[in-house]
This record gives sequence, structure tokens and C-alpha cells, in this order.
Amino acid sequence: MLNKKSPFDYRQAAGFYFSNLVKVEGTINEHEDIVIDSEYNGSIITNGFCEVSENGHVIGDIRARAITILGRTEGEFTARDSIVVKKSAKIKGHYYSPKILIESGSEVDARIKRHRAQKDELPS
Amino acid sequence: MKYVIIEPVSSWTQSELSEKIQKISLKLRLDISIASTSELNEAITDISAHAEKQGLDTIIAVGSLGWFDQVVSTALRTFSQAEKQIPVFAHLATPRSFPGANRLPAYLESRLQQGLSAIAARKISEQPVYVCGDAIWFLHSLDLQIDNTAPNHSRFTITTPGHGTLKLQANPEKLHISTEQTILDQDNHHLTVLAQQRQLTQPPQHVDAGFLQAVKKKVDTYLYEDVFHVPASSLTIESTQGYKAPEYGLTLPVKTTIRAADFKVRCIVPKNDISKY
Repeated sequence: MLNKKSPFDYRQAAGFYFSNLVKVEGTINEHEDIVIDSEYNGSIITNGFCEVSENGHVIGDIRARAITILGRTEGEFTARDSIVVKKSAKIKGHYYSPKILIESGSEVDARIKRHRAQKDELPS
Repeated sequence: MKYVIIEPVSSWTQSELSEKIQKISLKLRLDISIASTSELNEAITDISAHAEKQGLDTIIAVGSLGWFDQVVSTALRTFSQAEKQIPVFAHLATPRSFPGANRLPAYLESRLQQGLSAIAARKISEQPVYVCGDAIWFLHSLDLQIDNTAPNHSRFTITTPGHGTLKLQANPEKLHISTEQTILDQDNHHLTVLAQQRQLTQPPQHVDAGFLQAVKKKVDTYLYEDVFHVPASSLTIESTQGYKAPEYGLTLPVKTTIRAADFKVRCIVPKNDISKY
């Protein structure tokens, strides 16, 4: 019998989701999880999780609770908890977080610094 | 319709407005009750307690969008806690600024009569009440679609609830705009108006009062995927051809702005549609 239950999909659960069928520019200043699988130019501030997926290409700044990068990023990225750079990622720019994990195979042309984000850097 | 909830602007305008609504409700044969801001919790609790007995199916918030939002949040919380059927919410805007005292009654009457008549008419005809620009009122959700045989370039300008601004370029055939959180039934199926146009037509498991029966159907959303979804407080769509609202038989202008209390914009395409990639 066909199982009609939807599998859990974190993209569905995220407050913001952009697929690779859309180009985006602008600013987000929210509390929700954000998944970017598109071109994105601009800044993001969120208290939630932010993922730049395989097709994602972000040029700008992100400040979030945690950031996971599987795509391309250029700019200044600050995470209060952690930044994870997966092997498919290509990163440039400045990256600040108390915990930074870089998988082997990723392309890193960036300045990386352990840094505890200030409380006022994220929306309360 | 059983209740009207009104936001007092000042004691004088409140009494004027109350009087007008009372008069109009008689013409439209509506039962109404009026609450002020300070009485909101109490009024909603009272409505929830007597909802089934009195046949309540609609709450109309008269006032600003902020007030509408407050009414919806309070009512959702109260009705959910009491495990009662969620009513339908409607919104009638009061003007930001009022005309002079001598012109006020006529002004209010025309605005309120128009709004209440539209709601009453749609309720009688079991049509959903939505808001889209000046053309369409919605309170639950709204589907827009474009003729996908013609080339289309759409730009979306979205203001987020946190006052961020997003500009998106995409060429979606369909847009689903919803003022509500996603509703899931016990089998994890999304219950959404989308099904009316698109998909399965199993009768809804939740039976809502009034015109919601006409719009809520079951949809297996695993067949679709999102192009994007974002929370929004306003959405402007610019496209080379206007989107259509099939439920209303209307074609929107090539530039349309949609405003409501915070809502979600969801653009979808069928899953695994290779032509999209």
C-alpha cells in the first residue's frame, strides 16, 4: 500500500525557503529558520538556523544561530553557535563563530575566526 | 454570522460606529455583538463557550490589520484550548483618518455596508471571503495562476513581518497565498484550499462551519514542491501578464499589491517536473 505520509522535510518546516528556480535580493531580519537553494544577494539576520544548500549562492552577510553551507558563499558570516562548511561548499570572505567545522573537499578562500557573537547581534 | 468585534477609535467614533453596524446588521439580518479592545479576551472566551449553541461560524474584526491579527490569535488560542471548531475570520478596515463629524455617519455607513454586504453575499453563496488589493477579499487563502503557455516574467516584492524587503524573480505558474499556519490532519496531509483547483477531492475530515466547507479539501502536497515560501505582510506582484484568480473569474492587473494581517506566500510546482530545471 502506498504510504501517503509526507516525509519530514526541513525545507517545508523552514520559515523561509528559496529554491533554485528563483533569484532573490533583499534583507531578512526574522526569527525563523531559513533555507537558501537559490542566488541570494543581501543580508540575513535570524535567530534561527540558516542553510545555504547545494545550489545556493549567497553574496552578502548572514548572522544566525547556526549556519550550514553546502553551496557558495561570499561575504561576512557570523553564527552564535556554529558554522559547518560541507565538502560541496565553496566559501570566500570572513567567517566568525565559536565552533567552525570544515569538511575536507570544501574550497575555502576565507578568513576564519573563532568568535562569540554578541547578544545584540541577533534579534531578541 | 453572529458576531462583530470592533476596535474603538475613540469613545465618540466607537458609539457612532456601533450604531451604524447595528443598523446595517438589521438590514442584513445578522446577529452581532460588539467588544472593545479591553474586553477582547473575555469576549472571545464567551463566544467560544456559546459557539455551538448559537451557531457561531464567523468572527468579523472591524479595525486595523493589527487588531485583526490580535483577534485571530486570541480566538485561535481560545478555541483550540476549548477544543472547539475554529470559526471563519473576516476583516473590515476602518479608515486611518476620519472625515469631519458631519460627514462621518454617511462615510461609515457606505464603507461598512459595502463590506458587510460582500461578506453576507459570499457567505450565502458559500464562497470564501478573501482580500487581494481592492479586488478580492480573502481570509483563509487565495490561489493565483498564470497561463503557462505564454512567456511570463514575474517580480515579487515582499515585505516581511520583521520589515525586511525581498525582491524575487521567478516564473511560477501558480501562487498559493495563505493567512494561516499549515493545517495538518491526523494523517499528516495538508488541508488547504489548493486542492480545490489542483488535486484530490476527498471530502475534508474537518468540517468547518459555513463557507469554509466550500474551500477546504484534502491535498497530498508530497506531489508538489516549493519554488519559495516566505512569511509576508505585503506582496506586490509585477508580471508580463496578469495572474488569474480562477475562483473569482478575475484577472488581476499586471501590478497587484496584496496586503493582510501577516500571511504566507507559497509558490509551488509539481515535483520532479524536469522542464523546470
